[in-house]
Amino acid sequence: MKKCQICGKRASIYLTQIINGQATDLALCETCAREKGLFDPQSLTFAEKFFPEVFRKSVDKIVKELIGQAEEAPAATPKSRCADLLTCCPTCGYKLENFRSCGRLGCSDCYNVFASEIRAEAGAEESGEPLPAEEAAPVSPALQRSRLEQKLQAAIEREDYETAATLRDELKKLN
Amino acid sequence: MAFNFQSLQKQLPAWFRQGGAEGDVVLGTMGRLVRNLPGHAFPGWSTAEGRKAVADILLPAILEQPGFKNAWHAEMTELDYGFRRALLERRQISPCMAARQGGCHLLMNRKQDTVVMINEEEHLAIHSFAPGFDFDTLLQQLYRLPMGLSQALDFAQDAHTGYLTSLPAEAGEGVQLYTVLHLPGMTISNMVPQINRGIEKLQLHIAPFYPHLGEECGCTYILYTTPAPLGALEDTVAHLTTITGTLIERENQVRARLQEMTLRGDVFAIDRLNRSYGLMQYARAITAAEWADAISMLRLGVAAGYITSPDATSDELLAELAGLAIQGGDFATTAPTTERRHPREATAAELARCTAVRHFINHTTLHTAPATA
Ligand SMILES: [Zn+2]
Ligand SMILES: [Zn+2]
Repeated sequence: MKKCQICGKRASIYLTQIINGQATDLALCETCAREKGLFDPQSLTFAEKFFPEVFRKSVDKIVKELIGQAEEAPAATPKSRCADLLTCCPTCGYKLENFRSCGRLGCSDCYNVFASEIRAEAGAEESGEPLPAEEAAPVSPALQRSRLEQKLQAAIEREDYETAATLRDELKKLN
Repeated sequence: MAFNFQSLQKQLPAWFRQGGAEGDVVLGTMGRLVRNLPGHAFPGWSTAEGRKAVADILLPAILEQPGFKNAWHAEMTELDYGFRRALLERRQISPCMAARQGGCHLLMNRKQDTVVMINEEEHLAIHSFAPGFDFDTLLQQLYRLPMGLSQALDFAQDAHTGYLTSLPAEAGEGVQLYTVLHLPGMTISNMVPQINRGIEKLQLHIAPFYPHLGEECGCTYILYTTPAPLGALEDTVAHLTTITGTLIERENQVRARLQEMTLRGDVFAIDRLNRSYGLMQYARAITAAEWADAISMLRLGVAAGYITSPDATSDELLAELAGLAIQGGDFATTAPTTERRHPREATAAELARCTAVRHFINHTTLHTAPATA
């Protein structure tokens, strides 16, 4: 049985990541994974099996962060009771920064806690629709590529691997 | 009742085998309905205890509902990778569910038209399938369970937003709709990317039904809407129905043009059909991708009258074949057991496939021009 590298409890999430040519095994308990803002850790298992390249890229960031943190503060106690009711949901402990990083919510009560943030996001998305002028102008392949890459990055961040797969295919077609 | 993979492999959902009144262009419709329980963290954010608490509420309630009293049921930990993959390939479960473990449950009714996921991306997610182009039947099927459950349970909702989901953009009716389309004509003619650009402006999307087979493969697609906002269910159905109708028309036009080209002596249009027939006749190990492609072309051949059978059962024979498509592996062998170099035990699925292929080839004729009835 592997132990969580942060708190020492029983780990249930295992990630293997190649960093600088070395395979790094990472074991975490679900609580610590959540603490690190790793939304829906189980879905990474899916991504690893069905969608390896994107998985690696996506986990790379997290792992680097975690390793850095683990060295600085080994066995830190994961504690997350809400300090601030405006940025943390009292029902599920979800934080505003979690929402900002993955666009998902922790529970149905989060809708009230983060109401203004959700409205702002929805507004931004609407105005972020492709502009007609932009559509009409011929887009250089390089620009097209960087746009797709941005979209892909965003999809990976929300862990929307289905969209990511489609975008990856579109990128491949540009090659 | 535990899942019986053998029997699931034998009897595939009806719409895999038959089309509707619109011929073979629309294979079926699919719906996804999601609901969450108030006061519980969404599955992506919850702990093992949290997921168990949700399952302890939902599971007994579902098993009380008509049609689910003797449903197949399993906790995800009991299902192996191959089985998960087979379900994923048929879109009966979502990618997220394929990775789920403890505290997450899967149920399927005996008719196999409805799959229920507990602690998927949402607490409750239902995928329902209906053959043909009939959203009334689909919606009835899709709503039966949540309507029954709402007598006993409260779902998380808000008067202005509708049903609340883990992704705020998906909140609303909690329903997403799909049509499953068979578009060999447009695929051969390379028209799908163009169609895709056109419908994206209409807030619709088209994607391969079997994304894992890679691009340029298979002619089966899903056309789908984004999750319907509160109050927009009827509009969504109407919109999807209209655009599906347009695509049926386009596909039939393209097929007619391909037919004309063939009659004028253009071998290009009929080449892929002939290759597919030959593949079925002579190939012994077929990849899942080749298989899907060949089935698509044979479907087209039967629909256009290039493939007939003396007793006019080519439709049924094809349905039998199509029902055996891709079952959780990359290879589909069609070699009879007597031909095996390494005579390992053939699986039931392999034997069924082999028999169906022999049947189809022995009972059908491939013509160089459409046989007119
Ligand atoms: Zn831990
Ligand atoms: Zn919350």
